[in-house]
Amino acid sequence: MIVGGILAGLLGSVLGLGGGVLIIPMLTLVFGVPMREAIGASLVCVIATSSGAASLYVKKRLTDIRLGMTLELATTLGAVVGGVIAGIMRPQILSILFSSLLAYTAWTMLRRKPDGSRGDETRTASNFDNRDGSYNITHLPLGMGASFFAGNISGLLGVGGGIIKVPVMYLLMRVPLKTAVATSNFMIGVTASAGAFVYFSRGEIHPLVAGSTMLGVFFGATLGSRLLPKIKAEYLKKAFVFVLLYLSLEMLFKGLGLHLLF
Amino acid sequence: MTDKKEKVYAYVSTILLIGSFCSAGFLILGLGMFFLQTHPHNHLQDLIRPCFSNIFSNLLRGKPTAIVNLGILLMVLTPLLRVVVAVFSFLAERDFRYATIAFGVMLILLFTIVANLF
Repeated sequence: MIVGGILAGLLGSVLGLGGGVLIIPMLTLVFGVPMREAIGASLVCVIATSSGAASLYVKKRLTDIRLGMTLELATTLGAVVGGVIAGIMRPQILSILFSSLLAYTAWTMLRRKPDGSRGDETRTASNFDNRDGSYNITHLPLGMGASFFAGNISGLLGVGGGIIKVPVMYLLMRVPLKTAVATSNFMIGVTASAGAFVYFSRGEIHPLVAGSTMLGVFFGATLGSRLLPKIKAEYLKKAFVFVLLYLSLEMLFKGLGLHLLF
Repeated sequence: MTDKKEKVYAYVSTILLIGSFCSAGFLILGLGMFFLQTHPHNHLQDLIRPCFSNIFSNLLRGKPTAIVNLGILLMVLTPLLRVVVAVFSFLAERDFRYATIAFGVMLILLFTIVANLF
C-alpha cells in the first residue's frame, strides 16, 4: 500500500490530478478495501497532498488566501453534508458515482490544451491581491454555490474537488488560472479535513490503510513536484485518459456487480 | 502593511510544512513499530480507530496504531491550524471583514470536530 501510495502521489502530482482519483480505485480494486474506508483514507491523503503543495504555492504568493477563505465557507459546509450523505448511501451507489467522476476527469483531461498555450503568464504573482484591483472577481454568489457542490463531491467521494473548483474560478469568476489552481489547492486541505472528521466519527478511517497510503502519497507527491519541471507530461496525460476510462468502467462494474449480488 | 502581509504568507506556509512533516514522522514511527512488533495479519481485527477519546490512553501504552492515529489526526488538524492562523493574521492586519470570514470557516470546522469526535 505504501508503494501504491507513492505511485498515486507521483502520478497525481505529475498529471495535475488530486490523489483521490487514483487512490480510491487502487484501494478498492487492488486491495479490496471497502468503498467508504477507501474514501476516508483518500480524504486523509488529499489533505497530505494539499498541505505539501499548498505550502509551496503559498510561499510563491500564488494563493489568494482571501478568496480561498470566502469560498471555503461553502466548500466545508458542502463537505460535511457530502460526508453525511455518503454514510447513508449504499457503497455500490458511491462506486457508480465515482465511476462517473472518473469519466468526467478523463474528459476534461482530453479537452485540456497543452500547458504552453494557456497564456496567463502576463499576470505575475506580485499583483495577486484582489483588493488592489489587479483582477476582479465576478459571479461570487454563483461561485459560492458551485463551491458548495465541489465540497459536496469532496465529502461524498473522497476527492479534492479541484476538477470542479478550478474551472469555476477560472471561467466563471475570472480568476487567473495559476491563482485558481493554487487557491483551489489551498482550499482542498480545509475541505477534505471537514469531510474527514465525518468519516472519523463513523470509524471509517482505518489506521493502517490510511496511514500507509498517506505516507506513500506524501513521498510520491514530494518527489513528483521535484520531477515535474524536468519531464514532459503531455504524452503521459494523453495516455492516462485511457487508464482513467478503464478505471471508470471497473468501478462501474464493481458498483453494478455488487448490486446484483445483494 | 506589505511587511505584515509577507508574515501571513510565511506563517501559513511554515505551518503547512511543519504539520505534514511531523505527521509523516509519526506515521513512519507507528507503522514501523507495528510491522516490527506484530505479524501483519495478526491484529488486524482489534485495531484502534482514530478518536480523541482513546488515542491518548493508547499512546501511553505504546500501541503502534495509536501513533499512526496521532499522525493521521495531526495531518487532519493541520488545515484547522492554518485557518486559525489566518484569523489572527487578518486581525493583526486589521482586516476585519476577512477575519470574520476566516472565523466562520474555523467555526464550521470546530463544530464538525466537536460533533463527530466526541
